[in-house]
Amino acid sequence: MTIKKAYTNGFQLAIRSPRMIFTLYITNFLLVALFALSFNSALQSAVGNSMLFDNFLKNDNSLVLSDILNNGGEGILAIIGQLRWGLIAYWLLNIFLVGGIIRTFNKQRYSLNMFFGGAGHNFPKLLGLSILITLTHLIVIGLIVFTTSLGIDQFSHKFESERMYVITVAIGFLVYLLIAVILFLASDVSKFYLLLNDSNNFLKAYFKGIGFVFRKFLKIYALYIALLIVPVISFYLFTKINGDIGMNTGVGLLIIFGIQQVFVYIRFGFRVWILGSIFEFYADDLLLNNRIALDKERLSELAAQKADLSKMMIAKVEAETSTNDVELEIIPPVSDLEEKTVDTETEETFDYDFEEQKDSENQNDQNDEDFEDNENDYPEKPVG
Amino acid sequence: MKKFSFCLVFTILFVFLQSANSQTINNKNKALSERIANYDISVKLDSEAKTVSGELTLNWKNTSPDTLNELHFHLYLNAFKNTQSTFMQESGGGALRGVGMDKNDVLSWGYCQVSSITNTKKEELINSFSYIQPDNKNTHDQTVAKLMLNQPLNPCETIELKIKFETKLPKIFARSGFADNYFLVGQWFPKIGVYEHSGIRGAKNGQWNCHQYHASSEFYADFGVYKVDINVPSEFIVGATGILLNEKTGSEGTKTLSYLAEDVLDFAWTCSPKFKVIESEWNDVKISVMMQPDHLKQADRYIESLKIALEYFTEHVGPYPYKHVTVVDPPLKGMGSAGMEYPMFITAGTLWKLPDGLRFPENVTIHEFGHNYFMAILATNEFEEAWMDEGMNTYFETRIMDESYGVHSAWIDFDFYKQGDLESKITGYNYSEKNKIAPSNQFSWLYTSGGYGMMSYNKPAVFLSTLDKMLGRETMDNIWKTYYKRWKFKHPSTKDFCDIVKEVGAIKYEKLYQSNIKDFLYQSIYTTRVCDYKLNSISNTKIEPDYGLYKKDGKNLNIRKEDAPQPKFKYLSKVNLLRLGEFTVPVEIKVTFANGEEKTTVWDGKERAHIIKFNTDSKIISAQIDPDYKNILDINLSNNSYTLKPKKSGLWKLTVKFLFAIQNVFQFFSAFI
Repeated sequence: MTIKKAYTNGFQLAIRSPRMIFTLYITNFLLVALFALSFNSALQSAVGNSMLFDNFLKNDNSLVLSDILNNGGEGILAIIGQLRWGLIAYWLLNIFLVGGIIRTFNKQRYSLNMFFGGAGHNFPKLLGLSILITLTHLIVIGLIVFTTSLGIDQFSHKFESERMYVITVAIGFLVYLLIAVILFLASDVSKFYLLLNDSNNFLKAYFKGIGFVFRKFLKIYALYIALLIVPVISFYLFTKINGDIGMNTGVGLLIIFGIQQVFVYIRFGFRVWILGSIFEFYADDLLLNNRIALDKERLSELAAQKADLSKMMIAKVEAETSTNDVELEIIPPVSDLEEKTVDTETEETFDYDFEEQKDSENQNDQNDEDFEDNENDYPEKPVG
Repeated sequence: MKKFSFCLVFTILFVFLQSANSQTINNKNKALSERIANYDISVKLDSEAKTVSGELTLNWKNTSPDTLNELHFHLYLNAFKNTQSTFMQESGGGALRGVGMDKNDVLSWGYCQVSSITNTKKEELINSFSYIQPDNKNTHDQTVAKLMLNQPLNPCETIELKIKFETKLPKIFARSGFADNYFLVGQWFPKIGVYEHSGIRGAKNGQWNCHQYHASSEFYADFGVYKVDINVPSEFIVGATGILLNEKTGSEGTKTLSYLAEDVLDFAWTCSPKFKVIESEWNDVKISVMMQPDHLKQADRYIESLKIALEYFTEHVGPYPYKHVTVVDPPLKGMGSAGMEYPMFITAGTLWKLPDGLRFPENVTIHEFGHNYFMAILATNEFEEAWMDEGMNTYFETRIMDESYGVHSAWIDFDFYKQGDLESKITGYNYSEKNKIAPSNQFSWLYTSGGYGMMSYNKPAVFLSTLDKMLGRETMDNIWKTYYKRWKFKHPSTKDFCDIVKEVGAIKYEKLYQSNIKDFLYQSIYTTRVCDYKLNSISNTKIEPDYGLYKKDGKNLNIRKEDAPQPKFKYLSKVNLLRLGEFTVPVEIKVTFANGEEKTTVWDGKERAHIIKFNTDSKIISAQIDPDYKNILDINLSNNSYTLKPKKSGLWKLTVKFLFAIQNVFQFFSAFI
C-alpha cells in the first residue's frame, strides 16, 4: 500500500468513527473531571469565602497560587498527590480501550458492545505488550541518558560553553525521538499482530512488530512523520487561539474550555487516525505478501456454509491472494457480517465496495456462531 | 574631643590636597570619601600557574582619635587554602550557591601569601605579621592577620607599607578564581580591615572590624584610591574597577594595563582571551559589557537593564558618582563568579539561548548594579548587617524589575506561568516554613539552614515594600534620598537608617495609622515575628425593637413587641477579626454593604481578637483586611477577606486550567501503550 493510501484510509477510518473517538474522549474527560471537581471542592473549602480569587479571572497571579498552596492547600496537595494513581488508572484504561479500537478496525464498524467486548477480550495480552513497550522505552531512555552522560563526562573539559551541553542533550533527545517513533510504530503493529493472530505471545508480537517496521522502514517511518504533521499544526493553532482569546472573562473562560475540549477530542481523533493508517498499512501488507498463511481449506469450508455467497467469496479471496495487484478488491469480513446481525444497538458502519455484501447479511445470520469461533483465524481486510 | 577636632581639620586639609593633586574621575574633581585606605598595586598574572603576584603600597590613614599599635588585614583567599579554613568548614566542604569546589584538582586550592612588609624606613615587619581568628577559635583559619607596628600610629597619621604578596587563584566556585583561561580576580590582595572608632556604627570603644572569610558573609572596607597596574598575556582582554588610564605592551608577549579608581572600597578585575567587549553609554557613564562569544546576542539584555537601573537609582536614590560600569558575563565553568558586585564592576550571568521569558540576566544585572549603592557607596558592614546591603538592594531590585517588566511577570514571563520579582521574594519568605529562623540583623555567618538568604534578602525586601506601601512612594523615596545624602561614602548602621525612617516617615505614619513607626522597624529588623491577620467572620443580626417592662414618669409600662418603636437601624453587623501572628501592624479594614456602600476603617492590629460593629440598614456582604495589599508581610492572604457572595469565576478558571493540564498529561502517557 502506498503511504498516501494508508494516510487517507486511516483518515477515513478516523472520520467514520466519531462515536469511538467520543468514547475515548469521554473516558479521559470523566476520569480527569473526577480530579478536577475534587480540586475545585478543595479550592472552595480552602478559600471559598475569601475574596482572594476575585481578580484572578482578569489577572493571573502567582502569589495567589502560592498563598493557597501554602495556607489552605493540604486538600489540593493531596489531590495532586493522588494524580499518580489516576495516571496509572488511565494508562490501564487506555490499554483496555485500545483493544476496542483494534476490534473496531477489524470489524470495520463500531458498536459499544463490540468495542467493549473487544476491549475486554484483548486486555490481558495488550497489558503484557504495554508493559513490554514501556520497559523498552525506559531502557532506551536509560541507555541514551547513560551514553549522553558518559559523553559529557568524557568531553566536558573540551566544552567551552553550555552550548555544547545543550547540543549534546538535544542530540540525545533527538535520538530518543527517532527511536521512539520506531518503538511507537512497532508497538502499534505488534498490537495488530497480536489481535489478528489471536495470539497471547506478546513478546513474539513485539519482535514481529519491530521486524515489520524495519522491513518497511522508510515507508512506515515516512507515514508516521506525515501523520504527525497535522497534529503539530493543530497544536500551534490551538496555542495561538488560546493565547488570543484568553480566560479573562466568563465568556472567554467558557470559550477556552470549549476549545480545549475540542482540541483534546481532536487529539483522540489523531490517535485513531494514526492507528488506522498503520493498521491499513500492516493489514494490507499481510494480505499482499502472504505473511500469514491463509487457511484456504478452512476458509472454503466455512464459506461453503454461506450458501451462494461462499463461492463468490472464495473466488475473490483466491483471486486476491494470488495476485500482487495493489488495487485489490475488498472482501467483506465474514465475521463482520455475522456481528452486524447480532448487534442490536445503533452502529457506525463503513461503506463496502460490494453491493452483494449487503445482500448477504441476512443470509449470514444462521452462521453466526460458527464464525464467532473462527473470526481470528485469518486477517480481515479493511476497507481500502 | 580636642584631638578629634584637630584630626578632623587635618583630614579635611588632607582630602583637599589629595583631591587637588590626584587624577580624579568624579564630577567635581574632589574627593567624595575620606580615602582612608589607598593602594598602589602592581601585579603580574601567570595564566598557567593561576597566580597573581606583585607588590602593593598601602597608604592608610588613622582617622580615629585612638593611637594604634596594630593593623588588621584580610587575606580572603586563604579561605581556599585547605579544608580546615572557616569558609570550607561552614560551607560543608567547599560550596557556595550550589556550586561545589573541585577538590580533586590540585589547582583548585587558593591562597594569599604575604612575603614581605616594609615601612617607609625599609624596616621588615613580616615577623610581626601573624594570623588571628577574631570570630571563632579555628586556628587553622588564615583569612585574617594582625601586623604589630614597631611604633604606634597616632591619630591623623598615615602609615605607608610596602607589601609583597602572591595570590594563587582557586578554581572558581565562590566568587573569585579561574576557570580555564577566564579569571575573575576579587578579594585577591592583602586588604586592610576597618578601624571603627568610638561612635562609628554604635561602637563604644575603638576596635578593628576585620572578620574572617565566612561561607555566609560578604565584606567590609574603607574607601580609598586604587592605582593598579596589571600585567597579563597580551591576548587577554581585561576589565576592571575604575577607568583604564593606559595600556602598554610589555616583554615576553605581555601587556600592562593601568587603572585608576577613586573613592571605592575594593578593586576587582577580570581577564580572558575570549571576551567580546560591547560598549555603550548612559549619560556620561561608559558601559562595558564583557561577553562570552556564545552569549553575544544577549549583550543588549545586560545593557538595557543596566541603563534602567542607572536611571532608576539616580532618580530615586542619588546620582551614580562614577564614570564607568563594567558588566562581566562569566562562562559556564566560571558561574561560581556570577552575580557578584564590586565597585564599578559587576558580574552577571546568562546561558546560551536563554528564553526572553526568563529574566535572569536582567534581574542579576539590576541587582548587582544596585550594590554599587547599597555596599559600594552606602558602605555598610556586610559581615554584621547584611540586610542593609542585600535586603535594601533586593527591595530596589523588585521595584525596578516589577516597574520595568511587569508586576506579575518581571521574573518569569511565559504564557503558562508568570511571576513578578516581588512575588518571588514574598514566596521565598512569607511561604517558607523557615520564616522565623532568625532576625534580619544577625551577624551573617551565624545564619544556618538557609537563613542568610531569607533574612538578608527576602524578608527585608518584603518589610521595606510594606513600609513603602504604607508610607507612600514619595515619602519612601525621601527616606532613600536622605539616607544617600547623609551616608554616602560612609558606614551607616541599622540604627542610622532607622533614625532617617523615623525622621522622614514618622509623622505621616502616625497620622495615617495612629501608631509608632518604631514598632514596625523593631519588629521587622530585630525580631522573628511573623504577621498574620484573619478576617474570621461577618454577621448581620436584625435589630429587634426594645420591649418589655419599663418605668416612665413613675408608671410601670409593659411595652409589647408589636407596640415597640421601630429601631433606627435594621441590622447590627459585625466584622470579627483575629491576629494569628505575633507581628502587629496597623491595617485598614474595608467593609462592603449590600447596598453598595463601602466603609474603611483602621485597626491598630494589636489585640488578638477585635470586633468592628456597624448599625446599618443594609447587611454587610464582604469585608477585607488590608484591601490595597499594603501589608505585604502578611503570610496568609487567603484569610484576609470574607464574603457572603464569593465570585466563583476565578476558582473555575483555575479548575479549567487544572483539568486541561491533567488531560494533557494523561493523554501524553497513554502514548506508551
